[in-house]
Amino acid sequence: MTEPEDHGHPSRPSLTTQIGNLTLKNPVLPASGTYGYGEEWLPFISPQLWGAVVTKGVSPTPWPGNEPPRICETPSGMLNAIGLQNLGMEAFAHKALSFLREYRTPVIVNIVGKTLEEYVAVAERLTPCPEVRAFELNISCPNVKEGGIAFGVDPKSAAAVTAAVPAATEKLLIVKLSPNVTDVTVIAQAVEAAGADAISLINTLLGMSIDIKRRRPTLSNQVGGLSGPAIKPVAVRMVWQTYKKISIPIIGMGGILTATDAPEFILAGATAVAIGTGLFVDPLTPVKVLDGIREYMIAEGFNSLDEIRGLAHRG
Amino acid sequence: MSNEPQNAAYYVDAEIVGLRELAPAYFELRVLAPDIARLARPGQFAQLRVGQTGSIDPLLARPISISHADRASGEVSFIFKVVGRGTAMLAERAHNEHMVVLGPIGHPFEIPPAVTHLALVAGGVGMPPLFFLAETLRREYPEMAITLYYGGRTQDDLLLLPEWEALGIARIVLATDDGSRGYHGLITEPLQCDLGQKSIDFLAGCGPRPMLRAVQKLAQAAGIPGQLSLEARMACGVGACLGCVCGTISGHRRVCVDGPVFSLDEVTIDD
Repeated sequence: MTEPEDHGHPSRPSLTTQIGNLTLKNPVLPASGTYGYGEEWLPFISPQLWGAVVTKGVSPTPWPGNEPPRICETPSGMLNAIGLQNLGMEAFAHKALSFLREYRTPVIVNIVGKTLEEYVAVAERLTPCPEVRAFELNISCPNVKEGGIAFGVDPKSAAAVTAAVPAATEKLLIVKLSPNVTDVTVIAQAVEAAGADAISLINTLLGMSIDIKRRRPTLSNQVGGLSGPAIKPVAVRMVWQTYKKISIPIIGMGGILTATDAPEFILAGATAVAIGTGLFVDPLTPVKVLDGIREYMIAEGFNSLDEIRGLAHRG
Repeated sequence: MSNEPQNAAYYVDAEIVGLRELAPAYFELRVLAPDIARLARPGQFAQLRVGQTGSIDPLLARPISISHADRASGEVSFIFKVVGRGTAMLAERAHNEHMVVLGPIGHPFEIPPAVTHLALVAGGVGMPPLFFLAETLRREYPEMAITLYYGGRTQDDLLLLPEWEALGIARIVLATDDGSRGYHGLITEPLQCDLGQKSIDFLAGCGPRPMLRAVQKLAQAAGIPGQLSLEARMACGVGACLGCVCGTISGHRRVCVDGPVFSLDEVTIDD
C-alpha cells in the first residue's frame, strides 16, 4: 500500500478525501456494526488499512442486544436484528480505544442512545480521547424499540438530536440516516441545518423473513435490517438524490462489495464510502474496493477524488 | 505448539480433494489446506464459501465443524448434512475445484487430562467434531476411557460406524428414534442409566438443542462436568457482527469465537 499524496498524478492518483476538518488518507471506511472495534478482524485486516475506523455503536451503559436468532440470509443480502449489543462507553474507552490507539487511524465513534441525553453523554465522555476524531450519530437503527430510528424518521427529532451534540463536543459530527422514510432528502436537509458536518447514507432497509416450517418470523425480533448487494441500487439512488439537496459531505454505503461499486457511489456524490456486509462475504473486500477505486482513476485518467465526485449529475 | 496468536486463522483458496456421500443427505468433504490442518483442534470449525470462488451466491459462508485434520497430508475434512440451499450447493461441488475456506475458528474442546472416563454424546450431524475429538484423545491420552453415545433418527443417520469401531474406544452405544439400530429411543435414555452406574467423570456433547438441554440436565443432576458444542447461523465468523450469539449465565456470548464449545454449566439452552 502506497502512502497517499497531496497531489495526484495519472499513474498514482491521490485517494485522500476530506470530511469537514478530517482528512482521510483514503475514502474507504468500515460500516458501523460490521467491524466491531477492529480487534476481531485483525487476522485479516489492519485498522491502518481504512481511511478511518467507524466503531460499532456505543451507548452510555452496556446493552444486551436482542435475543437470537439475530440474522438470516436472503437473496443477495441478509437481515440482521442485533439490537446494538455493546459494552457501553466506559468499557469502550478503556478496551476498544486503547487497542485502536496504536494504529494511528482516525476513529469515528458511532453513538446510539435511547434519549437525546444519552447521545450527548457518550459524546461528552469520549470527546477528551484524542484518537476519536468524529462522532457518527446512529438515528437509524431499525432494531431497537426506543431511540435509534425513532429519531431518524422525523425531521424535527432528527434535527433536535443533531443540534444537541455540538454543545458537548467540538468534534466532527456525522449523522447516519435511515432509508426507511418517504423522502430521505428532507431528513438530510434538517440535520444539515441543525449543524451536521456530514451524513452517512444508508442504514439498513427494514425487512422480514418467515420460517414457513415453524410458521413464525425467522428473527426473534420479528423484523430486521436488510443489507448487502440487494440494497445497493437503493443506496446509490438515495446518495444521488441527497447530493443535489445538501452541501455537506456524504459517506455512501449499502452493498459495496466489488471493485466497481465505490466509483458508482462517488459518481453519485459520495465523498467517502463504507463497507459493511461485504466484510462478511470476503475479509479482503476493503482491499478490493480500494484497488478498484485506484484502478478506475488510472483507467479513466482522474488524479483526485474531487474530480469524480458527483460527476454523474452533469447535465 | 507455535507462537501464532490464539485467534490465528487462515483465509485460503483450498483445493477440494474429496467429496463423497456417506449416507442419504450426508456428505464428507476434504480440502487441502495445510495451514488450517496444522492449527485445527477438535471442536473448531471453518467458514466454507459454498459457491465457486468469486461467487456471491450464497452471500454468506457456511460454518461447518472439522471432523478430521491431517497435519502430514494437509487435508481437512468436514461432514455435513444437506439441510438447505447452501448445503445442497456444497454437495454439488466437485473434486479438483477450489473452495474459499476461513479457519480454524472457535474454542475447541478442552478435556482435562485428569479425566478417566469421558462420555461423548452425539446427536445426528453433531457427531463429526466428536469423532475428531475421540481420534485426538486416543493419540494424546490413550489411557482415557471413552464411551460414545450416538443417536439419530434412523440407522441411516448414524455415520462412520466402522471408523468409530477402528478407534478402539471403550464402548459405543447407539440409539435411533425408529429402533432401526441400537436402543429404540433417545440417546439420552441409555446415557441417564449409565451416569448413575458407570465411572463417567466428564461429558462432551454436540447435537440438536433438545438433546443438549437433556444432556445438560442429566449432567448437572449427576454433578458431572462437561462441555457442549453449539451451532448457530453466522455471518462474519470472527466475532465482530454479534449475529450468532447464544444465551449464557453471563449474558449473550458469540458462538463463533467464545464457543462453539462452552462449559456445560455456562450455556442457557432454550428453543
